[in-house]
Amino acid sequence: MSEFAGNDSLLEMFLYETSQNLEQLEQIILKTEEAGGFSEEAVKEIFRIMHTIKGSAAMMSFEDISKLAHRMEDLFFIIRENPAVSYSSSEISDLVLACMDCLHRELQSIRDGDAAGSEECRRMIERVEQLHAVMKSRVDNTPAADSPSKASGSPAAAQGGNISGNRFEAKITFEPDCGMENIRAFFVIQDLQPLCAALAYEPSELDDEAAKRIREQGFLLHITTPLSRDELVRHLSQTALLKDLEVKEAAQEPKPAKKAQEEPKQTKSDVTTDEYRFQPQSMISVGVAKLDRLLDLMGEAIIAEAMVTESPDLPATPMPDFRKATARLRRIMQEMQDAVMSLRLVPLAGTFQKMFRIVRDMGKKLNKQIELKISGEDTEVDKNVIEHLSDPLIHMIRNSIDHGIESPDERVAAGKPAYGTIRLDAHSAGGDVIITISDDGRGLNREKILKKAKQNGLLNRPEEDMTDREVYNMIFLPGFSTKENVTEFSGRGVGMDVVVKNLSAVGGTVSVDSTPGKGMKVTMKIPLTIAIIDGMNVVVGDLKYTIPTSAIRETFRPTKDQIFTDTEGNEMVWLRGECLSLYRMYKLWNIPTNITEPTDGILVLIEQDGKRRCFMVDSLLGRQQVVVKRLPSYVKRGDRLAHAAGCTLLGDGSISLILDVPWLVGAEI
Amino acid sequence: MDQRQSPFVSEQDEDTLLNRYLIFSLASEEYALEIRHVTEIVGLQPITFLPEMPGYIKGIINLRGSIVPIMDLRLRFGKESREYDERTCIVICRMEDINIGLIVDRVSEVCTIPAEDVAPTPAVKKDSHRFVKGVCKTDGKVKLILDSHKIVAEDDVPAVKSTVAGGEGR
Repeated sequence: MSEFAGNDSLLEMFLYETSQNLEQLEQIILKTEEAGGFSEEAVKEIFRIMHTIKGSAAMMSFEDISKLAHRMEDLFFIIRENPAVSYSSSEISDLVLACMDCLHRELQSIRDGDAAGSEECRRMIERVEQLHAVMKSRVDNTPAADSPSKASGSPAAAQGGNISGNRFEAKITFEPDCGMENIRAFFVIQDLQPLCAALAYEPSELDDEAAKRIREQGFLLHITTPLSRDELVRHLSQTALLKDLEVKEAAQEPKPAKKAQEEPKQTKSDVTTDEYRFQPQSMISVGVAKLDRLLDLMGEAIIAEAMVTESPDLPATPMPDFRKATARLRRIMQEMQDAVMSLRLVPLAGTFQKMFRIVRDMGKKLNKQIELKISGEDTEVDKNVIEHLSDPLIHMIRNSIDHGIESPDERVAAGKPAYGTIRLDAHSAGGDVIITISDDGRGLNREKILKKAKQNGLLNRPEEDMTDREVYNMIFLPGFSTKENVTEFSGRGVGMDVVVKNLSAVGGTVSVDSTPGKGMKVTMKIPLTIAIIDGMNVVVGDLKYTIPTSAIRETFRPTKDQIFTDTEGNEMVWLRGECLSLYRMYKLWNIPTNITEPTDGILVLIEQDGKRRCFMVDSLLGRQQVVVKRLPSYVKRGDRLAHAAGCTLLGDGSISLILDVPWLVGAEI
Repeated sequence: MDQRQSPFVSEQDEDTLLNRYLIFSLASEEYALEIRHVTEIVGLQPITFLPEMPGYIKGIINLRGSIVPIMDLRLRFGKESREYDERTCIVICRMEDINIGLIVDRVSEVCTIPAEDVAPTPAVKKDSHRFVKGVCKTDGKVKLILDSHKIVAEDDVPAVKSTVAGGEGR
């Protein structure tokens, strides 16, 4: 994506919209599978999506994409126009999903700057064409199956796609007691139809039920028309027995679920249609760079505010008005900061939805029956964090399906339902978001893990001393895998530590717990945002450093007898029966300071991934939420400042360097 | 930061920038830097010291939310440093996609130096005019025309090494 930033917004828009459409399509297909067949609503939606992709791809002259979408559109056209035609819905689902994957890859190669249109895409087109031919011959052979009421369907085909004109929403209220509201509404429609490019209305079926609803709630129209608002109002106000008329300009697009109701005598589908409705799109997409700029400015504004309100030039006399004004300003600034921060937050729903596909594909392949239940998908996380979340989640879910959930026979034998259940939940807790993945499979096996750990030389403590939890969490160590036979999905022993790596890149952690025979539960803790971290500010000489609080185990002032030096001159500190390496920060980076003895300074014990080290600083300044900024690449040239992950501006405008925790605990220093 | 444009840049006409130079002085010499590199000139402000830097990098400043590294041009050119005073300025530049502030003794003017007035520096010995790509004489005073590329170029490693070595000695 970044390659494009700013230089081809049209292309970027196309990529964005198309991938949004594909995501929507995926959800529809998966829900269809759950429901056991395509509802009329779903078919229309798919048709509409394919139509949109076709159109925009053609506009961007990605011919293969456009062609593939066109063929899919043709296929669904048959299904839409001939509801009676027989087809295997799972066959079509598979085909659509395969198509989507193909389109996804095409989008990726466009993103990477490669030419679009691959061999794969053309093969896909052929596959769709074949199925299309089969379906078509079936339709031609059973002409009687065509529903007569669908004759009016063909003009609707155009309505699925791009309709030009002004969009309005009108609400008509008839005089009370006028009676036959449904018939009156029908005449309004009759009257309006020729003037509209598209027309949809609520209630959609004008029966006696509808009369009551119109009486109570009014008659709602979604109109797309070349007419202006005034012309429309003039036209509508001619309606007999009209009591009230409201016409307002509609949002971008009328809800598809509503606009799709052109045929008044539409048969109700058995499958619930609610699920396919979109949220109304009152959204715009903004480049992350712009948001970052806004965040920068926000941070600046807060500092500037402090500079004004705390200015030494202010007279010492009490200034009630000034104080009142500054208190107000501060409140507004705080609210603004919250608002700016929230701009970067996106719900987890998109990431969670992707997991349905993983579960479906793997379940099919491994012959396991699995249900995925998600909750808390509206929990919001910083955009940067979300990008690092997808892979760990996929990994853990695959692991659950592959190693956790037993085969249906095994499950029944163990007295469990044949259907395995995986739960994916998210909720926020303070500045963190907790994501749990739990399954009701066989759980982890302590003995097996210990054996494996011993084999791989990962065991460095007597096994009796280790709690179950400690043993279970060894699966996250690099080079650990309990499954003997490697499968397509997981089990190469590179899985779990990748999860840890991915999460720690955004300051998150992962842990696992399990009850043998009952299942396991993986808990991921991730910070809400990595643009803001909770940090401890410390002083070393003239320099200020910020250490992420999540990595600090404790801070203490050592006594003289706690400190000792080995034969190589490495300093260590003895802390409650544990021996830790001690590093003096001023020495590491040659920072002039007056405090050179650990007994005069403060030791900070830092721990991550089980590695612990002590660092000596002059003093602690305090804890605060800081906005992370990148250091200019000029000062990070070569090996310089490897220990600094970034920097931040403190309240007084001074700059503090944020220490890189993985470097602190891992680097050879 | 990227959005920031040189205030001297008139958008319609880049040609007006051609041969325009910012003149500033270090010790007794006057230097000329192509104006297209200059973003703004700010007064001296508190500089946050950074460890592991070559001596001529004094640290970073917070310029309205952007972090900008600061280079003492005297030290960069191997001259003696001196106390900063009220005429000391930081010239904020953008060269080779790098934003950097240059500390100079004082800024004097912006002037046009026609290309034909610029004489190449004589080759005295290797590396002798590392940062100077030409000289010119206007108003009876010699101005050294700076090579922006050389100023921000990755320095020879020894400069960094020496600081580190010094650190271990402490």
